[in-house]
Amino acid sequence: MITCQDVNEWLLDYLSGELSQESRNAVDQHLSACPTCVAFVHSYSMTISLSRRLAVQPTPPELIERIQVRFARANRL
Amino acid sequence: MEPRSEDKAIEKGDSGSPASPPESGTSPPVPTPEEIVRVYGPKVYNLARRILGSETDAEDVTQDVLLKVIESLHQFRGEAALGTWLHRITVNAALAYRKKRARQEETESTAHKEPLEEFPEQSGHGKRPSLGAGRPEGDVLSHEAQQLIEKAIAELPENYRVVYVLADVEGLSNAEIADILELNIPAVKSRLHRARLMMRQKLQPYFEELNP
Repeated sequence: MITCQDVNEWLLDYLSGELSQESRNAVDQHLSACPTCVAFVHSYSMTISLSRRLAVQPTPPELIERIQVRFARANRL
Repeated sequence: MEPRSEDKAIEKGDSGSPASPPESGTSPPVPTPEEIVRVYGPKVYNLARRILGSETDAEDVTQDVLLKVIESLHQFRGEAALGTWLHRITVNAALAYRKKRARQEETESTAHKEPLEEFPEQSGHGKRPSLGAGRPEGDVLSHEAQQLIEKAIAELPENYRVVYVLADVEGLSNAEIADILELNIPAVKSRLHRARLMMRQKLQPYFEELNP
């Protein structure tokens, strides 16, 4: 039986599907009996999913203008 | 003059570089300078902003990176090569910018003791960094949630922040991150896991509120 520390150490590979089937089964078995690790895995996964949903902030219009001016100036030289 | 790290990236002939010559007759159309600014501007700006934790500094880096991209357009074979290369030069430019700023701030802290002529590189970047809270487009997450996550990212130590942004915000693979940062994959995984644990700890009190 693996420990909570093992789950912590294997979690990244577990979530990305890189863990061996045997280790994956061991994690699944541990999770079926450990609510603390279930909560940990849930919050770890939520951290990732929230970060992936961050919006793209638009480029400031004045920055676009600065780039266009500098590009035009460089082309004239 | 010693070339800057992003210049080295341009010259580098690996798979993420634009240095490969175009294949005659089969090359996809290269984007115009206007398309580069419109399509890649937000990508570069947001990546730089999250690495630097400052909108003002990110603007400077974005300008330098996009001008470099426009100047190098003729070297690209297609958007895949451009996308990989963009991540690389943006990360390199942002880290170089941060180092330069740190040196400037260190120098300025002792400026009153030194003669003025020893400080020729006064580039006018006197603006203090501001946290990239911003105004996100659309309703991907609430504004409050965006701010919380952006703040947590900005508070990560730099080594962890860069890996975290590339992996969990930009969605790059561990292999791509290893290539960009010149690290081995176990090192990337180690930093990413620790960064996620730090992020989780910072966001833990807010999970119930953030849970859609």
